[in-house]
Amino acid sequence: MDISQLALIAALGFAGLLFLIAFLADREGRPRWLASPVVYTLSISIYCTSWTFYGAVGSAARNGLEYLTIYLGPTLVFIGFWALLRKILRIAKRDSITSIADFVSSRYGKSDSVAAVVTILALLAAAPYIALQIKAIAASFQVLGSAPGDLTGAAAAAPDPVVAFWITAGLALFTILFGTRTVDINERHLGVVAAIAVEALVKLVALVAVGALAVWGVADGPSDLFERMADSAVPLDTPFGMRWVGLILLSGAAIICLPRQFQVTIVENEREGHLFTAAWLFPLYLLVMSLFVLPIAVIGLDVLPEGSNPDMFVLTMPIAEGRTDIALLAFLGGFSSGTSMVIVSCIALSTMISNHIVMPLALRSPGARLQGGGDVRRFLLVSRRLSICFILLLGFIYLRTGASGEGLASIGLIAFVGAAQVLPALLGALYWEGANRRGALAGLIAGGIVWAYALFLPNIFGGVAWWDALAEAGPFGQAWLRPGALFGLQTDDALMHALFWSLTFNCIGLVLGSLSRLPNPIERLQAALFVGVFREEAGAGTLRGGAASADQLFDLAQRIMGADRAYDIFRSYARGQGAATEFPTVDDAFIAHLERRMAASVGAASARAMILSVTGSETISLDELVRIADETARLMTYTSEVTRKSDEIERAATQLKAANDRLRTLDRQKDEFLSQVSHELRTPMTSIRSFTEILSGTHDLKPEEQERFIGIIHAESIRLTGLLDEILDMSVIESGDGERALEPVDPEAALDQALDACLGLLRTGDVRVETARVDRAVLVQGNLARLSQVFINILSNAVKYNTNDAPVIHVESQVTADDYIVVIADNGAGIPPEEAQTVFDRFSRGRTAGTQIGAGLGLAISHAIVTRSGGTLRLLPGSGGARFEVRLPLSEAESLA
Amino acid sequence: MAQRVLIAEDESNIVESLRFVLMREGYEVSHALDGAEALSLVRRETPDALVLDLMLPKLSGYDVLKELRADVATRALPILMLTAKGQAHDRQAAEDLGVDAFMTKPFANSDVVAQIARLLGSDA
Amino acid sequence: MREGGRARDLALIVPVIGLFALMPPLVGLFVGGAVAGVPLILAYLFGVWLALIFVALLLARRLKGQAEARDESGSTASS
Repeated sequence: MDISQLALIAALGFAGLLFLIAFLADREGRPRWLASPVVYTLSISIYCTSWTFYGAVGSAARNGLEYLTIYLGPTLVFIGFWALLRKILRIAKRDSITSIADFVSSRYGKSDSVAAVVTILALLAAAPYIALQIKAIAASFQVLGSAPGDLTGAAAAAPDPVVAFWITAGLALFTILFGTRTVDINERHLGVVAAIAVEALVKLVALVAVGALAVWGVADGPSDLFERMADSAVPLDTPFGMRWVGLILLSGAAIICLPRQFQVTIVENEREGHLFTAAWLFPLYLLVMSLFVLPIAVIGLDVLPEGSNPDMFVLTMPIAEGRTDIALLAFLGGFSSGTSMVIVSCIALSTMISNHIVMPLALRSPGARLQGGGDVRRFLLVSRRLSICFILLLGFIYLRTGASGEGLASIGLIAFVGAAQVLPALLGALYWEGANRRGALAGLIAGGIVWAYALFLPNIFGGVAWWDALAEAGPFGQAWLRPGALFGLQTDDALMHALFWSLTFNCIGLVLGSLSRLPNPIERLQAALFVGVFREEAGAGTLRGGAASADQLFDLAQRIMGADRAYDIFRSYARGQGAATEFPTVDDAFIAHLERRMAASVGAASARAMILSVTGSETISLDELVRIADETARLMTYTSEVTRKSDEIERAATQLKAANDRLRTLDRQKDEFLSQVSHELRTPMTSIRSFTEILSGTHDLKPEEQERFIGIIHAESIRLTGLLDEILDMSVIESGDGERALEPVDPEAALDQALDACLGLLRTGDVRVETARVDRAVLVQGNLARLSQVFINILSNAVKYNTNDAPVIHVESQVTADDYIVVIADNGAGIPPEEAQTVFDRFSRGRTAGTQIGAGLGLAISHAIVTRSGGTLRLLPGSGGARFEVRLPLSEAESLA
Repeated sequence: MAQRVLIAEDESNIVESLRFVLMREGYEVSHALDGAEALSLVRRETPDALVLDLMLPKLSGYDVLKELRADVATRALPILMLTAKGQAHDRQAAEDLGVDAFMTKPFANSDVVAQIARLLGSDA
Repeated sequence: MREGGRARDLALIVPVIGLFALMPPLVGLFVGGAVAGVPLILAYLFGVWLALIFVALLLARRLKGQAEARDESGSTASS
């Protein structure tokens, strides 16, 4: 039987075995060993693809120790798991992250655009990588087919397109059957993990077997090997320069950023504890794989014909030694390496494509009708299956267009540089709270473009005339834009050139983009949740597990909504629960209730995150949370303060306007007063001056004239004095200074005094007075003289302003339960309604009034006196003459009596 | 025949002093205690000059002045306006309405006499 | 806790030491020459590698023990 037919049968049988394992693993009650950290570690070793299995030997034969960089980078990352991988893992588990695109976009405000850009970048980077696997598998078939006649492995240089196509189709079918049987909620694929763990063992055993054959079968043990090594063409004096450093960093980035590595290390991880094992076991796996690469390269160069393809040494060397069995095992190892990479890559990428490109488009397209859960499920499955076909097709196309003649390792490195573009955004996500969506997008796009331009496209179009012309002269003749020598950076190493510029622009984009604007609230929240994922473990003031207490929830709520509102919510809910306390019993319903109330303030996502973290289902520290809450509260306070301030200003403006109006009125009143006082003072002064001049300038006055004029002067002097007294009175009563204390007095006596005082006036005016007096003695708080002054004032006004031909004044006093009331009415013209408002104001004497005595202060003084005694003086409404009512509260003594 | 002066003033003491002073200068003096009375007396008695107080009951000095100036018969009547309000705008308003002389209370008797003499063009 | 703090610090420092040891110019010192028939550069690189793995093993054991102790004292809500 031909060895290639045997290989085909073995491959199909092996595939069947893998299905069986996957089926068993996916069953309910799966075996315990599946959940072991060893299986987890083995699944991570899909890092070792055909590139490793076949290409590393090729790389070693060509470039000596350089192949080690590809394994030293991941070794350092895993040994440093505590700082990076553990953090990613913790966040991813908390947030049910499904892919690296999901992880990065989730950090940058759950941005669809970031996710889409990462997905596209990953897809482009995957194409050469998958092409590499197809090429390796196809080549391995062909090499076996041409063996043992031709052991140069020449077929590997240009694999038969038909073989490559059927391998691609077979891989597509295989992957669809494996990876998309179900749509798992958290995108985990236990069966696949089990299968690739088995494949990891197969490739390890195979490589070790070939290595052992080299060392002990061909060479005579290690010492012989090292002697042969010294003589061989394998260059051990690899220059440890930029390329060495760059490749270690690049492979370190790839072990984190490659979608399939993220899938197995993070998404498929069962327990955080497994990482603690993988931290040393995975580097050990890499070390063992690397250990035999060099011997195989050395022996291969020794035993195989000159010009043989070193990428195929793993296969051709055993055949050359007549060990078909080991060659077959090596074939299966290579098959395992290729298939496991393709399966997991396709699963990871198809998840990203369907979640971040197809779904958002479907949800946005107006024709989309995705309602039921089953509908979405079917839609997702179909989109994933189509995505897998699409990814493999891309790989196949890449194989057909570019990559010809390249070593396997160099193709893989192109993919690495593409995948590494996600690293700045990822590290920014984990360690820099200030990084935001704009920065992430800018970095990813800038880095992606430089990578595509300087590495990816040259690899596809290299050898095509128009591209070569462009690469030679630079686009538009701009030499500094040549893809191989950007900005005049001349180097033989296109990979390092592209790596340097792409990551440089990527980082610049991330930093400048992030600094160009402040993160929005969701970005800030996500940043805190990502960067500070471990703060919980920092100790003091943190919550650990279990349900939150009402106190803790209250503390959170009051920071967001303010103490009063939070208290209202808690108390009313407690009342609704029938609780006797102020705080409700914390149950799911209350937490949901509180979350809804908080969502109104900070948005649903933030409210959820905050609540979840307090209730212990999340791993953010209370301090961190409180900081976020405070920030929100500060923002809200600021906003409400601005609103309040503007309200205040408006109110103040209104008050100011009112005060201003009032001041204007007062000012006008003051002017009027001054004018009136001036008038009132000038009038008696005029008489006094005039008669004084007469008396002093006229010598022939009759004695009776003299006497009369002196009498007038005297009277006018008295009038002047009275006027001044009034003004003084007013100010004294209004200020309250120097006034005698209130005492119980009989208001009836004051009224009697007033009537007596006005007797002369009443007689002169021929006024009839009608009285209806209270028939018993009463007491009010007051001052007898002042009260009588009030009555005199009202009575004299009633006389003076009474224009009736038969003036009548009606005086009526009465006592109610609390008050003593006097109403003094006249039958004059009354006070016009427009003056009724101001009748008690100072200096507002009726304009239409006739003969005037006093400065118009009388009613103002009276009003002040009555008010000071605790009573009221008012003008009763109604037509006819003026009716004034004096109402005085009865004194304590009186009420008791 | 003696020239006649009408005094329109509501303060009786001021009326008395003015009457005394002007009578001693040889004028024939009559008086009105409010604006309306002043107006009717001017029309009835046609005095040669009017001493008019600004703050008069019933009809203010301004109103009286306006009436008189609007009437052809009294347009040229010499009027001395008296006021206890010393403000400039009062004086301006009075002059705009066409008073011939304006005096602020309290006044010197001699000034009143001099103004009346000037208004009547006599050299008393 | 003091012991745990030291283990955590070591966990952060060891990969940095590893990086330093594997970087030029340090690796350049071991080019050429042999030790017990093995090329010196091979012995050095694989030796450093093995040492790193060994230290990682010790650290992982210690840190895992601590993490589990903490998990038991707290809740096991999410992991």
